[in-house]
Amino acid sequence: MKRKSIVLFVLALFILAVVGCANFQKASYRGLGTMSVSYDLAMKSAADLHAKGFISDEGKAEIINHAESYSTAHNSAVQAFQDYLRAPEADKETARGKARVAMQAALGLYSELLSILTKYEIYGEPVEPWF
Amino acid sequence: MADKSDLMAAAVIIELIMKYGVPAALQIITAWEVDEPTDADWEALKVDGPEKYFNP
Repeated sequence: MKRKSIVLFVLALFILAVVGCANFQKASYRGLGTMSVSYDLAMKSAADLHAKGFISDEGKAEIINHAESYSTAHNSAVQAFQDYLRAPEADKETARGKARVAMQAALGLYSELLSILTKYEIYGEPVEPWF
Repeated sequence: MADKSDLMAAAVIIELIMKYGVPAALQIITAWEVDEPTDADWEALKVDGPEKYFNP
C-alpha cells in the first residue's frame, strides 16, 4: 500500500512539475502526451486483466466509468489547445483561459482514474515485462 | 565527452524505458522533443474511449 501511495505521489508531482514550469502550451503538450501514453498502457493492462479473470465485471464497469470521464476530459483539453492555436490574436487570452481550465479538469480526472486503477494493481505501466 | 545534462537525459530515457517499455518511452520522448506543437501534433494526443480496449 505504501508503494502505491509513493508511485501516485511521484507521478502527481511529475505531472505538476511538467505543467507548472516552462511555456504553458509546451508544458501542457508534454503533460498530455505522457498522460495519453500512460492511459493507453493502463487500459490495455485493465482489459487484459479482465479477460484473464483478474478483474470482475463490476471492476471493469468502475474502470470504464472513470476512464470514460477522463478520456472525454483529455480530448476536450487537447481540443481546447487546438482552439487556442487557431484563435485570432484578439481571442487568444480567452482561449488560453479555456485551455487552462480544460487542462486542470483533465489532470483532476486523471488523478481519480489512477486511484481507481491502483485498486486493481495497475500503475499505468505494462503488466507483462517488455523484454 | 558527455556533459552532466547529457547524462541526466540518458538516465531519464533509461527510466522511461524501464517503466513503460521501448515503444511507449519513444512516444513520450517524441512528445517532449516537440517545441512548438502544431495542430496535427495536438490531434495525435487524442485518446480512445475505454470501450475500445474492452470490446476491440
